[in-house]
Amino acid sequence: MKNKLRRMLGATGGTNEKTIQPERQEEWTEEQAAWRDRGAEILTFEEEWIVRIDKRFELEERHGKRSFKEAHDSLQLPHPPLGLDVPLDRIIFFDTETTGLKGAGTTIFLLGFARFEGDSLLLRQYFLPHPHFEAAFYHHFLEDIGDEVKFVTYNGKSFDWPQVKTRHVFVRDRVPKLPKAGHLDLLHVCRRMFRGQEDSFRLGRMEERIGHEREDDLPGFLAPMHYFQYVEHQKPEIMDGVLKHHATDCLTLVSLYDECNRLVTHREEALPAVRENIAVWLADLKIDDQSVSHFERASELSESGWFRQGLLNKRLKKHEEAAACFKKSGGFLSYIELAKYAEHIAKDPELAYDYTEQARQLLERGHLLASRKERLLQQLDHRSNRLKRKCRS
Amino acid sequence: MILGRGDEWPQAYACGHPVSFCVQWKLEGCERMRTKRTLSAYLEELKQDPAFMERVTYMKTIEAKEGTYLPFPRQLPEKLRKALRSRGIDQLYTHQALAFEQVTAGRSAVVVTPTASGKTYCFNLPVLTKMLEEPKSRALYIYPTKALAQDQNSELLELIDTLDADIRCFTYDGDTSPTIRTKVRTAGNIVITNPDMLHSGILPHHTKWIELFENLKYVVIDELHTYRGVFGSHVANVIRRLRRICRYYGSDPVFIMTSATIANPQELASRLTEQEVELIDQNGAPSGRKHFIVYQPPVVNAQLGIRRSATLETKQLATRFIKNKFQTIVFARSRVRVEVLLTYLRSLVRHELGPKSIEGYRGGYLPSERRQIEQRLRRGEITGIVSTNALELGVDIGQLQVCIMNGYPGTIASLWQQAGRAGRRQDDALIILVASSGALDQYVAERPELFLDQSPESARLDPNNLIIAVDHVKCAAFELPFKRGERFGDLDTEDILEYLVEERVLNARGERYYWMNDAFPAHGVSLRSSDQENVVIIDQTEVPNRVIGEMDVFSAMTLLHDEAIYLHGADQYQVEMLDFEEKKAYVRAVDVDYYTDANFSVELTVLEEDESFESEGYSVARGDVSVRGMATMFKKIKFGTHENIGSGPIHLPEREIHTTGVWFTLPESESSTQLEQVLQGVANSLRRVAPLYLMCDASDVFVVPQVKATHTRRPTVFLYDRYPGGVGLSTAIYKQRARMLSAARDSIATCPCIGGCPACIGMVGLEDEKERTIAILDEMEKSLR
Repeated sequence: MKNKLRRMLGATGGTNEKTIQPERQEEWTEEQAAWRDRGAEILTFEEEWIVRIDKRFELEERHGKRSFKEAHDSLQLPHPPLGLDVPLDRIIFFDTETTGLKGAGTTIFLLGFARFEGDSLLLRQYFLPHPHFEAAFYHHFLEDIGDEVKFVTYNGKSFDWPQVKTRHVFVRDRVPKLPKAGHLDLLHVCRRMFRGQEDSFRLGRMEERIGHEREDDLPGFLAPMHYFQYVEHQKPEIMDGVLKHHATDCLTLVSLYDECNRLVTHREEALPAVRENIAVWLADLKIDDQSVSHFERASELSESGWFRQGLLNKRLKKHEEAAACFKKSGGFLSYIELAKYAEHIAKDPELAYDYTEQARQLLERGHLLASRKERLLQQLDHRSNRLKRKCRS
Repeated sequence: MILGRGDEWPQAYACGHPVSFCVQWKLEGCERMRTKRTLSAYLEELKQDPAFMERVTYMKTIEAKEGTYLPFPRQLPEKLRKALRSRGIDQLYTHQALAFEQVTAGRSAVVVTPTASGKTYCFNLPVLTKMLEEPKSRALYIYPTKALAQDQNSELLELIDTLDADIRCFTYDGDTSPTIRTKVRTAGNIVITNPDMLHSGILPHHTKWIELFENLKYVVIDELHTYRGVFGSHVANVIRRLRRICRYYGSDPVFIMTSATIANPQELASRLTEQEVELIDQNGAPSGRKHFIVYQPPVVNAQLGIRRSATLETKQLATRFIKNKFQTIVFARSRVRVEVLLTYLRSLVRHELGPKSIEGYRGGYLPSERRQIEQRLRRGEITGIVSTNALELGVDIGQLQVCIMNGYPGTIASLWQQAGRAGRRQDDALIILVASSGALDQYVAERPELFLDQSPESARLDPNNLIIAVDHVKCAAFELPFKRGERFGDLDTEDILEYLVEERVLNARGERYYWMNDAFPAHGVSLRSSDQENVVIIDQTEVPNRVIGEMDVFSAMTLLHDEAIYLHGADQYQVEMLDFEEKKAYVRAVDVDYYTDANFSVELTVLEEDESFESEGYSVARGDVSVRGMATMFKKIKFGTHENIGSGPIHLPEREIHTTGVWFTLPESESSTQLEQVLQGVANSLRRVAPLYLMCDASDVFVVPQVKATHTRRPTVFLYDRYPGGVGLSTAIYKQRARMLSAARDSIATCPCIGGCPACIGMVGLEDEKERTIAILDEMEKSLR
């Protein structure tokens, strides 16, 4: 049968005739000893074991343009809207490395986090020496973090956390439940804040913003290959590059979280465009007072920025300010708003009519889908007819 | 009243139309002149028409059948009874009630009934009953196509609507928007999908479907007969994976399957799901009287046995019925022919009925277009429809009156599916098979009892085809690690798993095999085009270029090489370039008076003989074979005279496949004059009749005659499975050899040609090849039965 398989499917000449041997429980195996020699711990669970690697950073150490102390102190300040409303030491800056991109068979072989602990920053990595030990892997990780934590990740909402959930299913009868993770995904934050500023939102690109530059970094897509190598040869040094890459990712999350917080809370100067992004975002979140302060400090705004500030002012019933913003915006929607303002607040139907006609001109010049244009024009007609009647009476 | 040739022509007809307007259909008469007749009355008229009856070689009437009923089963919940009564149903057909009984008792079942016999109730009633009893329970429906899944979804939603129960039903396929996917996964009681989506979208992500797999009570597989050959072998493996995942989550669903009429539904169902399956074939649905007619176009070339074009005859017949406003469906074998017939029929009746009264239906139409056509058919707004076999499957189009098949549809099962489109309870239905000149058509036309009285073909699949099974073992290992000694269906996995460990796809530890690769294996495995190496044929005659067909690589080497004349339908194309690397052939329409014939040297060696039988000097055996093929040169041959008017070389690489085959060996004593031709004749006729018994395409089986085969040292005819590794066709040939040999003999004997023609023995006979071939097939049948 095996010959038939080789004949029909071809063989790559593997000669690995290894048989499965029972785990020996005398002292440390060679593999475990090698990890211990490198300062790692071996954690056991039932018949299984995994590797845990801890590294403590003095707060004075720098990652990018700031030290962890600066990050630590600044994060002590209250910082909604990125609101993870728990003490700093319960925030887990979390990342994983996996054997593939999706599906039930994609295993997480390395997960870990950075976390402030007393007067240092703890970087903790859990390494799975073989998929056979997954129960031990999740057991220790979940026991360690407890139930009271919040996560900060980069793209964790759609990648890391769903994958943790998927793999957890396989061992769910033997290990603790997953925490109901409060979760802040910095990818989403960065997309909002730096919209229009970046053509890519890879973590590496964001690192430029915190002034960090990686040296000899192992590209993430090579991580699975290293892991497969490790499983075959069980030599810890094979994983060095991957462990370093993963550690850097976690540390970068700390600094990036700090950077974003500083921008939101005015402790860091921002380009007007970034300010506008933040202001609009805060307005969407209905955090009006902070949104106002960002709008006010932005030295210039785009057409849609002025429009959004106008809407915000309108919502806050500051009609005069709103009208001023709409005028600066000068877009089609702004003229509609101006028309409403003139009609209902200023009670000046003639002015309102003028605004409506200006809106009409803009619409007719604009490049819109014919059907949409048609609909908008109808609405305009409706409005101007009403205004005409009002003017006459 | 019909105006005949001798009648005196009035200035204006009684209908009010001026003569100039009505003259073109003077023979048929104007529609307005008479009140609508019943089909049976019209048929009586036809029987009086000698021109028509001359062409009819066979006519049979299948009498109407009363329905047989059983009362509602005891367990059927009140809510469902009410819903059924509101639709005017107060008892069930026998098969519906029996299916309900088997399935609710926890036994998997396959229901075999013709088109339009209410088969969806066979699974919807037990499924909905379960949902009403246990609201948490789930069911999975598998349809071969997205369109059929959509149809079923609307039907179910309608039924659920009248139930007043919180049962949620969704389709889940490539078109399902990401926003509702989560909802389908967690909240869908009934999920309707297709095998491909199950394979690459559901099973590899099973952890997201926990609610479904933990509570899965029923799996419904409709259109079971479509799961055969390579596709069926793949799907059988997907079912293995499905059941494996179910076991992991602690469920063991009951399978409810429905199939069109095939010879071995029970065998197919249990092979597909690898469990015992109850057969329910007591059709209780009533049916009206049906008339079955075989219509033979006249012979135009006696030497070659060529008849007038079946398409032409089909046009004329269809016109007759459509003009008389009988709802008519015409089945054509290719998309091109559908378009040709459609254009013609529309132009004929445009003035009378309007162009919208005739529609085409085939793959390539937009789903929305199709839905609209189906609706209009149900409402009776369409008088004529021309379709490919796309309308064979369970799309609901109501019942039509007349069905015309332009040529034998390829399998008996298809023939019955197509015929089932015609038939109303109150009125007669008429089914006409217009035979083409092809030998298979002629053979079937001469022996209508083959499909009227005998059982149709068996559907074959082989889940243990190594190449297919290994692909799915990989997918399964990705989904869930294999345990040492675990079986995959009835397949022993040990060697495969060890092989995959050697290939570093898996890694073994502690009695388990873990996925050790960064690939997503389901993406590398396609269920449909497992033979992914088809050559696409691109017509460059017009801009933009269009794809007019595709062909397997082996055939392409002889039919699509550079400068080959490729015949597509009735059109000639010359191949300008065959890009063998990219699997594309560029062709251009031409009009020439020759065709090309390539020399294909095939080296076939037997790798392993599994089974054999010998008697009176003849023998038959089956086993693994290696086939190496190379096209060497081609000849240009003039039509009519068959002169060789040129030749050229073919530069294509050699191809090799390993597959399974059957070989027939003749006694050494056979004299060698004409031996080659006779062997060729035997081979060609066997290949031709293979689809009758194997439910496969003629192109799924290949033949190689060898005057002195290396393996047997005697004259031998090899037949082998086109798909690498084989999908069970050769075993089936081995078992059914006696029937196939006699059918092959008869197919030659019934050919109207004189000394052998391309259609029967594969070439124009020069001496007594035809008789010799018949004689040898006869001997073979007697010895090897």
